[in-house]
Formats: sequence, C-alpha cells, structure tokens
Amino acid sequence: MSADEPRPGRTPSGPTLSRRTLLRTSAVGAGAVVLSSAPGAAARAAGRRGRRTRVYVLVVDGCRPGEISAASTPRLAALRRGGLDLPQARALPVLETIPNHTMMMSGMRPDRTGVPANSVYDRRRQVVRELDRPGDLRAPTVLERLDRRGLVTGTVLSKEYLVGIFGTRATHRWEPEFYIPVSDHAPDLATTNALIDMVDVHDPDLVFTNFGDIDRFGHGDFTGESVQVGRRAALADTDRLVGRFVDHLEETGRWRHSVLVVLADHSMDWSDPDALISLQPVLDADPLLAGRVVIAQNGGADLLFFTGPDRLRDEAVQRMRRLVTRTEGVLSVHSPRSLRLSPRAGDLVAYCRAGWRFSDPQPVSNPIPGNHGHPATEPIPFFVAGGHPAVPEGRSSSSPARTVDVAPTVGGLLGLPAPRGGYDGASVL
Amino acid sequence: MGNDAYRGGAENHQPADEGRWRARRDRAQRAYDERMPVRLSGTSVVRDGERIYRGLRFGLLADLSMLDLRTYRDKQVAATDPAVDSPGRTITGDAQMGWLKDRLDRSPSQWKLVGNSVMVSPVQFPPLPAEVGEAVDTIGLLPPDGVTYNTDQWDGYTADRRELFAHLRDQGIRDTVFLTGDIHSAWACDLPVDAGTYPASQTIGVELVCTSVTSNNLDDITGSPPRTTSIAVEEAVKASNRHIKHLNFDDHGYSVLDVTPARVQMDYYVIADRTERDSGARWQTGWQVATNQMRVRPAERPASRQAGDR
Repeated sequence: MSADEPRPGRTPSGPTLSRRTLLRTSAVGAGAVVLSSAPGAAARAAGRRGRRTRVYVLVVDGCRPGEISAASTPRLAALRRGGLDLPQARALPVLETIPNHTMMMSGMRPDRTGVPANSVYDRRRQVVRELDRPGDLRAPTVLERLDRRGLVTGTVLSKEYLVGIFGTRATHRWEPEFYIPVSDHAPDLATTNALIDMVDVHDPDLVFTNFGDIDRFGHGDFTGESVQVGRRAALADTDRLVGRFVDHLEETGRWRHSVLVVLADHSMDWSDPDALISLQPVLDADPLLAGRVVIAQNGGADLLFFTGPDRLRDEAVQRMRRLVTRTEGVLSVHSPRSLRLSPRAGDLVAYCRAGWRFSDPQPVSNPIPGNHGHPATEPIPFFVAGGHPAVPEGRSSSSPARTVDVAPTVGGLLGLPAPRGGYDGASVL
Repeated sequence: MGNDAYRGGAENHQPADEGRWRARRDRAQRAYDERMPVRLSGTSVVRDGERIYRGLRFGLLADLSMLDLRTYRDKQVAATDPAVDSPGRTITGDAQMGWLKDRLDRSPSQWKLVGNSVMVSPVQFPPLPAEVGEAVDTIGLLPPDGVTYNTDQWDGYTADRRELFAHLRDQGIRDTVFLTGDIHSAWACDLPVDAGTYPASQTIGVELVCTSVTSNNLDDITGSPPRTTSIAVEEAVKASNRHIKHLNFDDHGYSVLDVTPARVQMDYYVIADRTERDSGARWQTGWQVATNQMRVRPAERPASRQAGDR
C-alpha cells in the first residue's frame, strides 16, 4: 500500500463528524482494547434486547483437521465432539486467507467477490499487491447486510490485510493497535481480549474473528514437519484462548443462545529448502514470454499474468501452460475460470505438489517452509458448536462443507434472506 | 484361475500341459461373469465385457473402488531385483490407475474405501527365527529367505504405489481405507508416505487386512501350536515396520467393517476350529480410524456394541 493512501477503515470521513466513534473499554489482560463503531450503533443496541441468537464465527487460521485432538487441543476437540462436525470440509481456491475469509462472509465464490487470492498483479497500477483494500471486495457480506437490517455485527480480525479488506463493513470493529512485525498479525491473546470486550460492550448478533497465531507459527516453523515446536505451542495456546472465550460465554449466561462456527480458512503444508519452484526464470527463457510475464506468488499457487500485447495472448498462454506443466514440482495448471476465479487471477494458475512451494520471482523470494494455496491444503476443520437449540448435539455429518457455506449458515440463523443472485454456498445446518 | 497370476501367466500355470494362458484366463473369467454377483464392464449382461474393476457408491458416507490387480500387472520379479522399483512396471495398468485416481479425487463420499486384492502397506521382513524361516511352503505369507518383501504385493510394484500415494497427498484426499485379503493373516496398518521417517511423517490412509477362514496360515505351516512361535515373528515384523499396528499370523475367521461419518472400524472375529462345520466365533480385536486422522487405533469394543460412537 502506498504511503499517500490512508489505511482503509481508519479514515475519518464526512465533513463535520467522524464516521465512527471510538470507544475505549475496560482494560483486559494485555491492555486497553479500542473498538471502532459506526454512528448510531449505540442507540441501536438498546432496541434489540429481545433478540437471542448470537453467532460467533471463529477462524483458526491455517489449522489442519488432523491437528485437533483431545490431547493437543482439548477445548477445540470438546467443542467439536459436542456439536456438529463436518469432517469432509474443504477450503476453496485459491487456498489463501483473504479469498477464503471473503467467501465466508459473502457466501460467494471469487468470480463474484473479485478476491481470488491474497496477492495479484494489479494491471492498472502495474504492481503485485495484496488485496487488502475495502474496494477490492466487490460482493456484499453478511456483516453490512445484517447491519442494514438493524442487527449488530462485529469484526475481530488479527491480520492487517483482513482489517483492511473488510474495512468498515461491520457495525463494530477491532483494529489492533499493534501488529507483530513481518507476520503483520496481532497475537491471539490480544485477539481474545478484544473478542471478549466486543461481546461484553456491544453484544453483537454476529462476530467474525480470526486467530492468526497457528497460521503464523506454521509458516515460520523451521523445525520442520516432524517436529513443529512452535506450531504445537501455538495450537495449545490458541486452544486455551478459545476455551477462555467459551468459559466467558458460559459465565455470562450467553452460551445457551450462542452458535459457534469454528473452521480454518485453509490448511498448511511444509516443504524443504530443496523443493522450490521458480517459474520466472523458466518463462523468461522463452523468447515470446521474456519480460512479459509477471507472477503473483501465493505460496503453493502461482498466478501468472501475461503483460504483452493482446494479439499474442493466446499463444503466450499456451506456451506458459506447456512450460509450467513440465517444471518439476508443479502439480497442475488451470485457467482461472475453471476454478471460479475472477479475471483478476490473471491468465493461468499453477499449483505445486505437496511438499513443494513456489518462490517467485526469485529462488530467494519465498524462504518460509510452511505454505498453502495448493490442493494439498484444502482439508480444513469445520464444526458448529454452542448451547443454542439449532446446534445438533454430538453429530458427525459426511455432507460436503466449504468456506463459502459460512454466510448462508449465519444468514439462516439470523433470519437474513439470500443476497441478490443467491449464495454460492448452502447452510450446513 | 491360477496362483499369483499376472498379465501373461500365473505362478503355477504350465503352458506345456495346460495350454495357452489367455485361453485359461478367458474361461475362468467367463465362469466368473456367469456365476458371480458382479457386473463386469458395468453391466449385468453376461459376456459383454471383461472389466472386473468397478466402483460402488453408498451415498455421501462411503465409496468403494474394487480393484483388479491380476489382469493388467507385469510378471512378478525376485525381491532382490531392482525392477521392483521400475516406473515401467505396473500392478494396476495405466487405465485402471487413471480410473482409480480420478475416482478418489472426484468422490463426493467421505470414506474412500478401496477393495484391494493384495497388501499395499510396505512390509520389510526382518530376520526371522530359524524354526520359522526353515518352513518350506509359505505360500507368500513369508518370503522364503525371511529377509525381504513379498513382491506379489504392491511392494513388488513400488512405482505404482508411489504414484497413488502421491496423488492422495497432492490432492489433499482424506479418509482413504484400503480393505485387503489374500495373505491369510490379519493386519491393521498406517500408510506412510515415507516409511523411513514414520511415525513423524505424514500418512495418506490406512489398510485393514482380513485373515483366512480356513486357508493355511503360519501356525498351520510351521506346525506350531497357535500363538506360540508366530508371536515372535509378529513382534519382529512390527518392530521393523512401525506403521504396522496389528498382526495376527495364526487365527482364522472373518472381519466385519462398520462405517459411520466419524470413523471406520474393522472387527476381527476368529473361529475356534476350522475343521468344525459349526465352530463358534468370537470377537478378538477391532481397529478403527477416525475421520481426518489417517492412523489406526485399537477399538475398545465391537462396533455392534457401540452407541453413537464418534
């Protein structure tokens, strides 16, 4: 993001009145939690005392389904055991954080949201950038649709780019005052404090929360797949914090009205330093393609953009496909349309095999061992828990479930009709 | 049809006395088509095709792919032959491999069950006690020299196994369970991508193997009392193959598979005496795999006595 552009969601707008008021709440744990709210939100809260159902969508970013167990994550395992488990659940292409979070909240695939990946080549600005601006998300989400109907929504998002893209859609937002450098995320302890404050102060009908630690410790865990010292510690820690939130719901009498939708946005796969794929030099070695292909690297997926003249595009794409397909470590190559991605995903999407990663434009561009984006990282944990009567008790279902099913599930629970054009997902309840 | 058959023959087929293999195989297949409750080439019409491998779907819960690992395979080679790893050799044939991979990838069902006629788990046989190793006819149950693989199994065609396992891993396919017979013994195994780094490394599924009802197994061959010398062999095999969690070389019986959205369980029932027509049967052990875990664990009780098991 360029320096002259204010960060989305932090810009005072309107000539006389700040668009939101800042509410400083009581200090919990690490320090004061600041929540931002839309104007008029406080007055609205008074008029909805009778509403009972509360929905909390908790995203354990990057968690693998097999990682949840009674031994390593007892609180998450207990929630899963007591509610509806969806063991066939999968995230959707491209297996990255921003597209799957926007699918969760819109109920639509990227060919409608306009958000196909974390990172794309912005043809107009001629730069590879993250899709972290409010205008990047072109579909309505349940956050502002519920708000417009007089319900109250909240976002407690630990990652800077998620705070960016969801902007001011929710009635109340937590915008972390502190992000861990490099990972650009707030630690789960701060996220949990903010979530509890959000519930205590505003008691939203829907809160959308992202816990970033498991993902961030997975990306950076150089101890490798077999050891995973940091990853395991993060799993245990996040589990404890989710447990604290559940305890809070129980202690404040909210549990019996609550539905918790717990899932991941993608899984995680680890690669050794010798299992790297760099497509840029491969493509630049071709006379037609040299200097005319830009790659937006998304871990286990590369998005390829032909920047030459349109009259050469068909031939160029054919050549790109041929060259990429035969590169060692590449699993498959797809047209964005076949994956239901918008044209913003470029001309081709390449996936790597399990145990590999892309590193573009240079072999040193991606040093991190933990990656996602490729099909090996599709399986996710996904379960519905809580004391609300709509939650099936102790059931496991073989029905397919996907990240795009979250919005219709939430909408169904809170009486929100489908958006224009309908959802691409369906309620899991 | 013949023992340990392959594309062009069988271990015990004698062309001089028994004629062409192809003619023998065609007659056997015709009898199979006419007498068995299967649909060759997808139809119940007799003699309209000879494709034995086929798929059965049980709603969203389970999908069963039944393999034919005899008709298209290359001839077995000795365990010491480097050809066991040759990418040019196959146990499935290309068409069946493509069909299986595609089916596993596209299946809308949760449990991907594979009806698998010979064991897919890698099995490295350890040095065996002399009294066992000296037993003469081991019908593939143990290799004659007691130190290496059974190359009639997928261990003799490791390129195909690598291709299949890599596919499961690359596509993020979960909950694949190989259901196997043939080897006259009961096994429950995890299927590691790399047996050398197991249990720290990934698994891509599990294998549950049913024993024989009456056919000879190890104690019958060695002449030892049941559950005596075989126990040492079982422990030695498990020690050398840490992904093998259960192994019983002696008992006869049958297995019952129970499938729920939360887990698949195989119960191993053993009969008291294979020479008695009305021999009783009892539950000996059960092994299950929970969804998304891709590792077996012992069951506390038979599936028939579990209520709402998750």
